[in-house]
Amino acid sequence: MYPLPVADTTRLRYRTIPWATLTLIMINVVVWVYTQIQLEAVPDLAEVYGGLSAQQVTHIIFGAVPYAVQEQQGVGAFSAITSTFLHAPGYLLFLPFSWHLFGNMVFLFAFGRRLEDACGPVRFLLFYVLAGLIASTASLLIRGQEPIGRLMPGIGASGAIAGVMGAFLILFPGTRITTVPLIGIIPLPVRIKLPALVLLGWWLAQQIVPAIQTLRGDEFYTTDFVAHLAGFFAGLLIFLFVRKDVLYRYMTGAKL
Amino acid sequence: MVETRSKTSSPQQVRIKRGLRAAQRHLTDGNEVEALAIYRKILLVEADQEEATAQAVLVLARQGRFDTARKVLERSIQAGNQDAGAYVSVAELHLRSSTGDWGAFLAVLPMLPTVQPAHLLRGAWLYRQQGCLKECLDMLHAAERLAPTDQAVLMELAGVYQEIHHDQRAITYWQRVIDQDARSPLGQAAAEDLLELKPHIPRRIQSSSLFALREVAGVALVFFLLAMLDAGGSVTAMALTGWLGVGLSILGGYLLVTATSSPGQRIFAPFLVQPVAELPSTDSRDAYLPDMTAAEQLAVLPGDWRIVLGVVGLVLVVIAGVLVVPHSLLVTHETMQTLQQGDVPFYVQDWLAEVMEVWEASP
Repeated sequence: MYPLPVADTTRLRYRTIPWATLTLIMINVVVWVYTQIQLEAVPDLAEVYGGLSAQQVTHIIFGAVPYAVQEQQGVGAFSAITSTFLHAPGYLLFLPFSWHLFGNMVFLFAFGRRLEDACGPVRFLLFYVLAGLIASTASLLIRGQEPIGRLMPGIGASGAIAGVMGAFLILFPGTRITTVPLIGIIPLPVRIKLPALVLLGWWLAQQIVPAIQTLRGDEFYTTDFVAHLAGFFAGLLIFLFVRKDVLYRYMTGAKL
Repeated sequence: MVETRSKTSSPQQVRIKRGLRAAQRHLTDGNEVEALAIYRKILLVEADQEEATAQAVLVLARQGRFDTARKVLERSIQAGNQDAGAYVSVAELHLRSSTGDWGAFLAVLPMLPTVQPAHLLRGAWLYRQQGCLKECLDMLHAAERLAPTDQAVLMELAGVYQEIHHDQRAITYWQRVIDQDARSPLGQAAAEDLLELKPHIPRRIQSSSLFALREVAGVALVFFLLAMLDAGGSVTAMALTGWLGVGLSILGGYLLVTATSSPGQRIFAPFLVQPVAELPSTDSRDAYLPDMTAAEQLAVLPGDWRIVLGVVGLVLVVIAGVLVVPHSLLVTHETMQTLQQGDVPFYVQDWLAEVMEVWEASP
């Protein structure tokens, strides 16, 4: 059973609509739909490039591939940012559906909404980009040392979202998050409210061991736990982006 | 005053009661003139008669004769009337006609034996209306001592503390209102206010350059990481232009932050600052500033300079961007051109060849 965080129902102090969070979700969805269309519509390239689909080529070019960064190819340094908007394909009941994208966006909505409120939309976007950049950079540098890892494209917003979660844990550890328990992919018809400290602490604990195993080269995971961990700790940088009064209240121990 | 007040005899009391009843009947019939005449007679016999005073003042106020009403009240108070409501009314009437020392009547209010929280609340409201927030708070605290669980008193205290930007105290009082009864209208209003609170931060924090620099640090970090990745993921391989770009991003970022942050933000060039009237320090005056909003709206940095700084900052950030990722810009341009032609960048084949090589070499 896995508690999927769906919402932080705490009232917002500054804004009612989290524009930046919603925009990020929209961009991610649009990019995924676009790459999905690529997969369906341009099959010729699959034959030309040794079995690679157009979507895979897109992931190689715009994903975080250490090889491309080291060789200064593709989109170079920008791949650390563009990769955060790419998600893996998938199917649900024979229809295109990405669990990768779905999971990330649910987490982004659950934790990003209030964080955006504490930062303002522009600074939140900057923080999101920085967290994603740090997660991707860490992943690129670590994977760049391995013969297989340096060729694999890293995709997904999870590094940036891990940063959002880390920042949320720092600022609002006591906030209760509404979660839906999942058994496999089946949601149970109940809502459980869990403190952010418990939920995110548990999530963090799940990342540590695989990340260490990856760093030591003991195991190879398709999930980029190093990026998750780096992104999570990039959450500390939230203090560079929160509103002045939020920072002032945090420093003075007042209620946020 | 209690010791000096004249005592009326019992037959007089009976006549007064009869008179009060008669006046009440006149009032019911709408005959205010007759009623007033009776009240006048009663007050001539017993100047501090509370009911006659209160009713006469009400009638006089209704007729717009506020000065007369005030005089009736003052005479009643001089004669020993200790009704706290009378004191509040006198102060209010003085304020209405801008005469006399209204504050003197309010000052004694907390010491009156008949005082109720409602009187003190009314007095505090009058003080607040006049911008005397310290006196207002003293009066509200007196009311709090009298009725520590009165939601109206606690709510008013929270409101005044919020007005003077003592957010933490305001939060405490709202919380106390909620603790009394969260479902009452005041409890709900307190919960609403608590959530809606947009805390005030002291000017020294508001104008702190350090606070602006932390935002700049965030921008610079983004540029630094991009510069490092542009150099193939190595800090040592970063070109001088990359470092220059990071430096420019700090300067440009600071200008942008200065141009877009609050009017009170202190900037690096004090000669640009528009001279404004010196404001009393929020901290030293313990924030008893009735006109805080107006003070906050003073533009320290003129609007035109903001635009200039913003544009210069933006230009510097763009230049910094070009300097930190020159290779990436170039290869991205080439890649996009290739993709637009319906082709795939050539390096993908190299990448694929290396994948095959690794695949074959792996056990």
